[in-house]
Amino acid sequence: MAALIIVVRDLKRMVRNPVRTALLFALPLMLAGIFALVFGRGATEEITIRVLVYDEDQGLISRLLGGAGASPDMDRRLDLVPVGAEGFEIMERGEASALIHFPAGFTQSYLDGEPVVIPIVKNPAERFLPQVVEEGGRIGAEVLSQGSRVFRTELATIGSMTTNSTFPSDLAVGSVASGVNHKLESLERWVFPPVINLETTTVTPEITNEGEGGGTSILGFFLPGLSMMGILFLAQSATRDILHDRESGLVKHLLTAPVSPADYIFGKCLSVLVVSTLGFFFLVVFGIAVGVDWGPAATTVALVLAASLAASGALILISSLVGTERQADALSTIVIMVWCLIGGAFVPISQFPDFLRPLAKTTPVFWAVDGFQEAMQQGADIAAVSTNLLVLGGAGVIFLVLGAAALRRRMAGGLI
Amino acid sequence: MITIEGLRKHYGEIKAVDGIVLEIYDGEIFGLLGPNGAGKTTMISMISGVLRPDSGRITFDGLNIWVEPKKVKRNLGVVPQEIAVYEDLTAKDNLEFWGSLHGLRGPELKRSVHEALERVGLEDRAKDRVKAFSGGMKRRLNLCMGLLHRPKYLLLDEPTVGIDPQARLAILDIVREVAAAGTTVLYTTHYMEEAQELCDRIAIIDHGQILTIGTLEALTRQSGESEVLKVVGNFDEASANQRLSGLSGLRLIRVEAGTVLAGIDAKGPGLLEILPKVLGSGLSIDDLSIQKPNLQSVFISLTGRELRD
Amino acid sequence: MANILKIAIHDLRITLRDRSAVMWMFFLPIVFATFFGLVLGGPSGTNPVDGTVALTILDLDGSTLSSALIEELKDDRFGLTFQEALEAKASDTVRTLVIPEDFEASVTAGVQTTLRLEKEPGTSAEAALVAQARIVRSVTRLIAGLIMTELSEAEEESAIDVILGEPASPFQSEKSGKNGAVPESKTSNFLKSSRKARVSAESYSPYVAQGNPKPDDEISKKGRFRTGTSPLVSIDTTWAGERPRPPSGFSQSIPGNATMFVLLVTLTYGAASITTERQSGLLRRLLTSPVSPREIVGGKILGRFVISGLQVSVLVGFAALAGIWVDLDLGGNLLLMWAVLLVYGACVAPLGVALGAWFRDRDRAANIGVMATMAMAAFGGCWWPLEVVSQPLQKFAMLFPTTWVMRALHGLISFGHGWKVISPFVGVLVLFGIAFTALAMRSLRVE
Repeated sequence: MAALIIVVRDLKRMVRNPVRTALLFALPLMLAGIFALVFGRGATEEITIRVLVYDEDQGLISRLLGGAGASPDMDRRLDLVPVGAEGFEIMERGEASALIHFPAGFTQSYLDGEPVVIPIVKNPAERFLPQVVEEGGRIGAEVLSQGSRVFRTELATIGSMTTNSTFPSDLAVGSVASGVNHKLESLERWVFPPVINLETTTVTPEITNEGEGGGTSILGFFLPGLSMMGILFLAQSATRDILHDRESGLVKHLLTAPVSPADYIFGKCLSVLVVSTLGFFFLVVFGIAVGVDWGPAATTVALVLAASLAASGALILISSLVGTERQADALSTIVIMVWCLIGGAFVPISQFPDFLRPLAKTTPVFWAVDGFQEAMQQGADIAAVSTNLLVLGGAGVIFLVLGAAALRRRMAGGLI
Repeated sequence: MITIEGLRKHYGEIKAVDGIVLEIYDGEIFGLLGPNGAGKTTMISMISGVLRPDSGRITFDGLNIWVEPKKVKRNLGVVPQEIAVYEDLTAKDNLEFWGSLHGLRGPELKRSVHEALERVGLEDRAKDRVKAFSGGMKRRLNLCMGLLHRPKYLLLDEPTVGIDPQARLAILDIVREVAAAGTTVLYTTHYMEEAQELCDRIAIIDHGQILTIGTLEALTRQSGESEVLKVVGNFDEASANQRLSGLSGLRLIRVEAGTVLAGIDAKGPGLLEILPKVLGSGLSIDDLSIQKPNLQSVFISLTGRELRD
Repeated sequence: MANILKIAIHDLRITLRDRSAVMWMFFLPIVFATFFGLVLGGPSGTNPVDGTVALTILDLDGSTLSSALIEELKDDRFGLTFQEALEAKASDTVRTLVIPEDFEASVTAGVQTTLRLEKEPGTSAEAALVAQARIVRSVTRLIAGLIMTELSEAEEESAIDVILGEPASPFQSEKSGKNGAVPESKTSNFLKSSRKARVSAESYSPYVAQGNPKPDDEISKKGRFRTGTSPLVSIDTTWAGERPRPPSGFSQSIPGNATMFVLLVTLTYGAASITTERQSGLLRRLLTSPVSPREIVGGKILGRFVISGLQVSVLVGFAALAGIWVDLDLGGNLLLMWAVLLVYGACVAPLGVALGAWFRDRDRAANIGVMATMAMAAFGGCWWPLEVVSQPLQKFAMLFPTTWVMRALHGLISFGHGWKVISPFVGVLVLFGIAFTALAMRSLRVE
């Protein structure tokens, strides 16, 4: 009974301090919002790649290639800027993603079947877009190389025509035209349209489903990790009370009432658990409100309960090991941040270097995020995430028991 | 000498300080007595150069603190009501920082810190963090920070709030010592006993105005009453007024249902003659108490309220 | 000035006594920078050493043509793994190329078929792009091979065959190998021969096998474009700037995290210290000493700067020391990097003071400080390179000092530029600093 009274008191304090309570949730919500804004579906479509084209060759092929990016579907994302040698200086200033340089004699060498190199200068301050340009360039180079294979005879003839001082004879031109036509006819069924097409998809239900607002999928992807971080901080704030009560003399005062130390500890643990669980459910509801599909309801509820138990247990254990509120803050903040980092709350585990991946599994954050993502992406039922639930629940109970025992001992020793 | 002329500070309709004129003489302990919310802290804030007055002039030996703040503040020590110390630092760290702001340095700073700690009895806790101190120790350190640079003027704003009687006595002793060494002290309090015990002169302040100024003796004499009578019983305001107002030598100060405060005129018939008349007035009286003239009775006679109200 | 300095040093002293502040100042930035440096060291599924990209193949067709495609993919530096069945996805799958059931049948019939590249959510878009481009290249070669087969079947006989004494194409190899045999179809003809032909092509030309041809004799030049594995046109990439090598993951993570944590400590602890001192009456008490209100505010701002300066110095010093053992790749100009971060520290110091002036409650001020830091770090390019965000957001980012310090740091670290090139960015930081100082002076009224 006393434990319940303590829980009610703690909940009342949260309700009476709405701004403070709101701020506890604000961080994960704000971060999720930023991720959605930056990487949401609508946002990424507006990225423009600025590419400088330095055509020193001014030949047929280089001009054709230099204008390739100006096709209507590429136009929106590719900003091709013709430049002279000053393009290198522009690159030095970091004002474009890449510079493509067609060197003098490029077209002639190609027609002659001689190896040609297209230098691309990339912006070292950018990681992504220069890579796009480079890979695009490599595809273009491959097409040119293969084109050269197919049209070798005709290209060689055209090459010799352009180097001769005299005009080519009608017969030679006709022969080339006929050869090209003939090959194009053969090519048609392979190339127009390409007989093998490549389609890229992401294995996420929200992305494949039409009709959702922009950014939902990315929000759904990051929300479990950020929620877990939010809940760990919420549990930190709730456990801070234990030390605060002690420092302010409230624990001593409470113990003068018919409340045993065990009642107090049980009440505080229960309070932390209730606060964390309610907080987690709030974030789940927020997610649903903005269109995130958490997957099967039963799985979500089970994961929320298990994850809240793990977060509460961990934070209670930490607060039982330290002497003051400040020490608890310092230690728990380190633990939370490191868990979130290596548990995949900020960066997906798949992007980790190999040696870090096994470490991820040592954190409750990993098991929570992994479970939620299974539910969201695969529609996993409770059985499918049973390992996650067992790990989270088991760790939560062990942490909680150890933490409560340590608190009890400290209380008995007069340290609380 | 501290001279205050026409000091005024209003917050909208609220007149926190309303046209105060005051002179505090060199070497005296001047008490500013008033209930909570009377305007004492606002006044100290303005005198110490923290809060700018709406109007009025505050000078220390002719130097206006709002015109030449640094010159004045070098000779000024202030002990605020709140315990304004750095809890994460040691007592010594706190004092060294404060001393250095007042221009002390090197051996002089060290000596001053040592002396100040010794004076307030904290020398053996000099290297402990303040957050480990008891409330009384923090109060003493709070005081110490105002004394460190041996100021010519010391302003203390309720320096004994919330501490045990022993610690309070210790602080009062320190203030006496400082004053004996020639420091002019302005001491605000709402504890009548402190003002009575400590101060050479006292000003009673209420609603931002000074009601009276003088020595303890002059104030009690000035009220013109020998005793104050408090009658508690089961009666209403009208019947109390009707039955007691005509009694000679009795001046009704405050009449409410169940309570009457009245002054016994020093030049009137005297307590022994008046008491039977009060008891025989027909009022249903449960309790009757008589107070000797003191600051409380002076305050009551001036405001109709008790100081703790 | 002496009073300002006294207050500043005093603030530093108080901050250093706070263990959690010390942790946020020094420990966590190092942990974060190391972690993200390692994560950014290579994109998802990409081995940073040899540049192979992880790809799982789900071959639902199991045909000769799909095998040929897989052979082509092997040439494109993929770390291939195979998924046996649709439901048998391994847990460490990063991205999967699904070859449809009717792949060979459709291609042979000239009907368009679609390969599907399925990315696992949250995996690196960068690596996915590389994978996509390499698959397209493989497909291009495969189609070119098919075309060559068709053409050679029809009439083309290359004179170069004679010169080389080797088959001109994989298809011709098949043809000459099975002299007189009638192929079932042009495609299957190619398919059967492709692997064998590749081996013969590679053994013929070592340049081809190395993928790095040296055009030193006429035969190898002409043979190269005929084998289907050596490019006639190649791409040579270099990085702009004065750096001899491309930037590593640390060149993003170190400036990003230094920028974020300097701001975090300045805003949270700066704001919290002001609110605490105001609540406890210390600020008012400071006014009773011979220190003017301006000196107090100046001291508070300088205090935040001294703290951020110490933080920056330790972080840059650590990076310099760590660089002795580990290849941190910071562009070599640590002194300038230090100077830029110092200017940035001075720029944001008054913001911490202003934030403290706006809130009465310590926790609230610190919470808002954390959120402001996160927002400015995200929009300013501390978490991801700014080029991956939309144009409107890039413009919005210019409102934050984090954007400008990151630009300056990228100039130093990524480009290896000197002071002159980055000075405009530093100039913007100075302007921000002036505006923030005015704001702090206006906001923090000690009276």
